[in-house]
Amino acid sequence: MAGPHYDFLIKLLLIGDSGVGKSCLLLRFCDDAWTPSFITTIGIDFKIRTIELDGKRIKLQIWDTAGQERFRTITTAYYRGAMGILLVYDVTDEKSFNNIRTWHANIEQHASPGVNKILIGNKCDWDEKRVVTLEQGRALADEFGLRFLETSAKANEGVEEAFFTLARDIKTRLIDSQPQEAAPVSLGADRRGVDVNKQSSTSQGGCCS
Amino acid sequence: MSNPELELDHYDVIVIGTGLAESIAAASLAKAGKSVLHLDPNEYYGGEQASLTLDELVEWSNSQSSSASSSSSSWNVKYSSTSTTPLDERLQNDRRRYALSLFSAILPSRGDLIDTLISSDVSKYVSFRILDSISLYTSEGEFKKVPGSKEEIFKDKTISLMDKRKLMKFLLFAASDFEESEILKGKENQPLIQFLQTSFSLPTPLSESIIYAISHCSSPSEQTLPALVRTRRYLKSIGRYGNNAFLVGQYGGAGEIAQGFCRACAVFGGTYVLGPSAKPTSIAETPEGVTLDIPCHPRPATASHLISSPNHIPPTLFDTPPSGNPEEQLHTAHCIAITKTLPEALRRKPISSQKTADEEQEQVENDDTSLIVFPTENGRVVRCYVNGEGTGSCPPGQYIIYLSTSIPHISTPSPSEILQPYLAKITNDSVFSAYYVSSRPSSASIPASVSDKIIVLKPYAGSELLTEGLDWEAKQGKAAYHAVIGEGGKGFFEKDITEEEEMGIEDM
Repeated sequence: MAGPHYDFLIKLLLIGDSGVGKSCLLLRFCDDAWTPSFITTIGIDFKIRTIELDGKRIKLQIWDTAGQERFRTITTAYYRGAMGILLVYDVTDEKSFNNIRTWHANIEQHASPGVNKILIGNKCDWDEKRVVTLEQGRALADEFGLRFLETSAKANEGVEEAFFTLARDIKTRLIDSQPQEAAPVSLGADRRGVDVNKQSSTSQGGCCS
Repeated sequence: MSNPELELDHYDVIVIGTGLAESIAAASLAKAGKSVLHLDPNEYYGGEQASLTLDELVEWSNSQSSSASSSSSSWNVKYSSTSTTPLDERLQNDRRRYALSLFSAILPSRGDLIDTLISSDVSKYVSFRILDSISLYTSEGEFKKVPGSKEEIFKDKTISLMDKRKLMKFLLFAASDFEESEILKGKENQPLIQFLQTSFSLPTPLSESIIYAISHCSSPSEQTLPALVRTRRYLKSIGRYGNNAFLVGQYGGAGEIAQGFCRACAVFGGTYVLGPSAKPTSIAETPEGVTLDIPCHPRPATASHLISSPNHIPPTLFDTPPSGNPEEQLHTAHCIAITKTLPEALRRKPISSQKTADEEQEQVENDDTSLIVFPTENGRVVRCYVNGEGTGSCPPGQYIIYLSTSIPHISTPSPSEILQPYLAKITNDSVFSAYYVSSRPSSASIPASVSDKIIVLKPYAGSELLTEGLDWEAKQGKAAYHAVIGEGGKGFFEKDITEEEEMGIEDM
C-alpha cells in the first residue's frame, strides 16, 4: 500500500452553543454542502478534508460536539490532542455571543496549553436579524487575543478562510518550528502507542503458541 | 440556553450513571437505534470508573468521608477511611494536569472490553500503550522483572535450564484446552500453588512468580480451575499488541474509555445531562416502563427501560431489601500517590557514570508503566500500578502510584498504616498521597434485575479488579444491551452493511 496521502494530520474542534451552525460550517467546509433542516447534531462525529499549505498536504480532522454542548456535558476526552479550536457564536443570537466567555474558560481548563483558537461569528449573511456587530466580535477577540472572522455557512462566506487561517497558525506553531524529520505523519503521535485495531507484527504468537 | 429542557418526554431507555458498563450499554443501544437519555448526578463522567483531576480527587475524598454514614443500599460500592495530604502551590497550579483513576486497572489484550472497543469503533477516541513491565518484589528485597515472552524466559539467567523446561511445560498446558486434560482431572478445586508444585514439579519461588505475576491471583490458595482460565486468557493476550499481555489506557484509563462510549452514544443521538439537574427526585415503575422526575425537565420523563448501577435505584424498588450483611462485602485498601522521582522498580537505564557508554545501553528507556506485586506473609498481595508521563495522566517527570490490597475489616488498621510501608518501598519521595477503603458487595447478593424494565448493573465483586475489572464492566454493559433488545434482535454493536462499505473507502 502507498504511504499516507498527506504530510501532517491536524485535529481541530468546533465549540459553541447549540444552533450557532457548527455542524453547518463543518458540512460546508468538508462537503461543500448546506442544509437548512439541520436541527441538532446527530451522527456527525468528525469530518476530514485534506488541504495544501505551502506545498504540504495537511489532513484536517475536524470534530463536532455531537450535541453534548446542549447541557454542557462535553467530555474532557473531546479536548485531548486538539491543536486548534473554532469558537463559534451566532451573530443573530446575543446569548451565544455572551456564552463564548464560558466556552473560552472551558477550553482553558481542558485543552492543552497553547492550542490555537479562532473566534467565528456565523450567520453573517442574515443582516435583518443581526444583534452582534462586527465591532463587538472583534473587541471580544482582542480581549482574549484570538483571531476573528465572520462567516456564513449558508452563503459560503469566510468558511474557507476561517479553517485555512487556523490551519496556517497551527502549521506555523507546530510544523515550521520543528526540525525536519524523515517521515513526520501525525503531530503529537505517541511513539509507544498501540493501535488496538492492528495486531502486533513484530511478535505474534506470544509466549506459548 | 440557560435552562434547556429535554427534547422528548419519552425515551426508549434512560441510563443513570456514566460508569463504564452504563456507558457501553448506552452507546450500544443508541447504535441500535434506541432513543437514549443518559444521566449522571455527578458533575464528572465515569461514575465508579471516573478519572479525576487532583482537586476533584481531594473533593471526592472529602465528600466520601462526610457521607460515609449514610445507610443507602448496601449493593453500592462504598468508600470510607478517606484521607489526602494537602496540595502545595505547585500541585495546586498543576491540578488539572492529573488524571487519577478511582478504578485503576489494566486491560488484557484479549477479552470483552477490547472486543467491544474494536466493534464499537470507540477505539478511535481512546489511546493505549503496552504495559512496560511486571515485577515481583522478592524476599531478598529486590524488584525482579517477570519475563513476558518465551524469548525473555530463555534469556533469563536466574532460572535454571531444568526449571525453564518445567515452566514452559506449564505455560503450554495453561494456554491449551486443559478442561479435558488428565493432568487437571480431580484437581480443579485444589489450591493453585499445590497444583503447580505437585503436577508440574515447579519449585516454590517459580510457582509464586506464576501465581502473582502471570496468573495475577490474590492468593496462592486460589482454586486451580478459575485461576487457569484467567491465566490462559492472559497468555493468549501476550503478543497480540506486543510483549506484554496488558494495555494501559491513556489519561487515567477506565474514565477516559467510559467517556469514549458516551461520545459514541451522543453521536448516535443520545442525550447527556450531568450534575444536580440530572439527579432524579423520584423513580417509579409503571405498567409501560418507568417514570422519572428529573430537575432538568418540567414534566416527568418516561422510558420503556431503565438501566442503572444499584446506587441510583431507590431501595424500595428492589423486591428483596438490601441485606446489609457486612460479611458479604469485600474490602480493599487503596493508595494513590504522586512522586517526582523515578521509582527504582521502573529503572532500566543504568545510572549514567558507572557504565561503559555502550551504544546498545544508550538506547534503553526506563519503564513508563509497571505493575509491581508484593506477596505478603498473610498470603494476600499488595499490587502496585505505576503510570508515568507517557500515559498523559501526570506532568512530565512524575509518576502516579496506585497501591491496593484486600483487607478483612474496614476499621483497623487504617489504609495508610497498611499501605504506607509498601509505598515506601516504591518511593520515599511522594509529594501527594490519598488513602481510602472501598467496600464491594459480593456479586451473589445483588439481584440481576429488579424487573424486566429495570436493569441493575452489578459492580465488580472479586479481588482481581486490576486485571479483571474492565472486562467485567464490558460484560455488564453487553448484558444490559441484550436485556433491552431481547433475543434475536440486532447484535451488540452490529455494523450495518453500508457502514462496512464506508469503512472501506475511508481515506487513510
